[in-house]
Order: sequence, then structure tokens, then C-alpha cells
Amino acid sequence: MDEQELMSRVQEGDEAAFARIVSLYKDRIVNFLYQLTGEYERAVDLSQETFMRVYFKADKYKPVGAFSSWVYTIAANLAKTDLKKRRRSIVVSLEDIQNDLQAGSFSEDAPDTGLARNLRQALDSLSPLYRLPVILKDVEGYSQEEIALIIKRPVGTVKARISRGRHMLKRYLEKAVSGSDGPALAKEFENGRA
Amino acid sequence: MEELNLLEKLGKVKAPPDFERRVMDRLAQLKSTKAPAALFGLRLSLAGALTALVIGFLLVNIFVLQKPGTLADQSRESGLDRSAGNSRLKAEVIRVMEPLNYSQEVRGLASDRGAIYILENVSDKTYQEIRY
Repeated sequence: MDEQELMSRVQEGDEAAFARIVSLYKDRIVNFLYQLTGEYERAVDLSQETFMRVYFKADKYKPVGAFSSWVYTIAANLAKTDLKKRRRSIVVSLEDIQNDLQAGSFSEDAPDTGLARNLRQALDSLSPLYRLPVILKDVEGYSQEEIALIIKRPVGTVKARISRGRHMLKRYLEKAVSGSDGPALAKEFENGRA
Repeated sequence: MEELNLLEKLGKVKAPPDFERRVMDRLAQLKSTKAPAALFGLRLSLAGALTALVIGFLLVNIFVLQKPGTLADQSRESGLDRSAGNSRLKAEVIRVMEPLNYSQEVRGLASDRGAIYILENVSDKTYQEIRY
């Protein structure tokens, strides 16, 4: 039974078909959301929410494009909303950190020079505007046309964002290797000026 | 691109072993809470539709059907015949006939010698212009 058929069964309220879809996509969606958010537990929560929307918004699904694109669109939208919320809450937590610094209770971890760690930091520092298409292209392996469908932007915009995102990542990694100021660069990336 | 190869080195993660069960549990939980909510929504929309109908009915009655000065009201007030053929034509002419009795007034003024009486031609048949 293919995905379209499974989805038409889900539209009729078939929970077994829905369980099959969850089984087929759970690892891909959790990994995708983990690469986007950088936190495993958050990625798992968002994945659950993604599948809930797949079930309850099943009637909105039209089999014109690939089913996976539709699932990724839901996941990407949820992640974007979550990242926006987190950016707002980070402002609060930085104040807390400042208080901790003044109180002398904050100790910075020794910087991890591992490649994966640097890559993770580089991705996290990238604005979601660029992070999403870069991950969809370079981690998930989608074509630019499919990414355009997922993020609902023209192909030209997708190409530009991927190119710019990759350039930012490269610059971040180069500077991280040469030992320049990582946080300042991250801030620069966050503002999309790098 | 070099970054493409680098990003592939990012560790891939998998869903936790109980992920499916958690999803299905949450689905069951949401279904049980969404059903009454949907019923409540249905009731609310029905009540809203009924209220809108009643308000619409009242507005039509007040501002359209009961509008003062319409032909129907004029003909009803003037007591004219509303038969289908000539009711419209008759309703456009309103004749007000008010009988007046001047005898008391004339009698009261009789003692005054300087009084001048002007007698007007009064007809209940046709309208006539008064000439002095």
C-alpha cells in the first residue's frame, strides 16, 4: 500500500493506516527536526505534534505533490514557530546568565573542537531562514524544486538561500578553526549580515 | 560542495523506541477531548445561525414591511378601496373631508354690530376655488 492510499484511509479515520505512516516517517521527521532545533527532546515533541496535525488535518491533504513534502511542510512550520518562541525566551535566559556571571555561579564549558560540535554550532547560529533550506538540501537530500514546495517560496529564492546559508556556514567554520570570536560571528549570522 | 559532505557528518538521530505508542496515546487523548469540543462548536454555530435569522426577520419587519408612508399604509388609513384594479391609482389621492359647524361661532358674534360675515361655498362633492 503506497503513501497516497494510506493517507486516503487516514482521511476516513483509519488509525491503523495512521500508525503505518508514523512508523514510516518517525525517524526521518525526528532527525529533520533535531537538525533544525538542535535539541533531541524538543525534536521528539515537535515530531509528535507533526503527526497529530497529519491526522487531524488529513482532510486538507491533496495528492497533487509528494506526501513527504506535505509532512515536511507541517514539521518545518512547527519548527519555525518553535524557533521564534525560543528566540524570544533566549533574551530572558541571557539575563539570567548575566546574573549568574555576576554571582560567580556560571562556568563555561571547555570549547569542543570536534567537527560535529562545530557543525552543530554553525547550524544553530544560522538564521532559520537559511537553516531550513540548507538542511532540507544537504541533510535530507531534497531537490530545490521540492524545497520550494515545502517552504512555499519560489525556486530562485530557495537557490539564493541555500547558497547564502552554505556561505555563512563555511565562513563560520573557517573562523571557528582559525579561533576567531565565535559568538560574535554567530550574532552576525543571526542578523543575516555575514 | 564541501559543506554538503560536512553536513552529512552531522550525527543522525532516530525516534525513541516508544515513539509510536506515545503518538497513538496522544491521538486517543486528543480525540476524546476534541469530540465534545466539536459538538460544542456545532451547537454554537447553530445557535449563531438561528440568532442571525431572528435578527434578520426583525430587521426586515421593522425597516421594510412596516415602513411608514408606503402605499399600503396610505390606502389603509384613508379607507379607500384596495381592490386589485384601481387601488394604486386611488391611493395616490388623499381626500380629507372635515365637516365644520360654524353656527355656534356665528351665534356668539351676533351681538357685535361691526361683525362682517363672509360666507364660503362649501361643497362635499368637488373641490372649488374660493373667490372673493
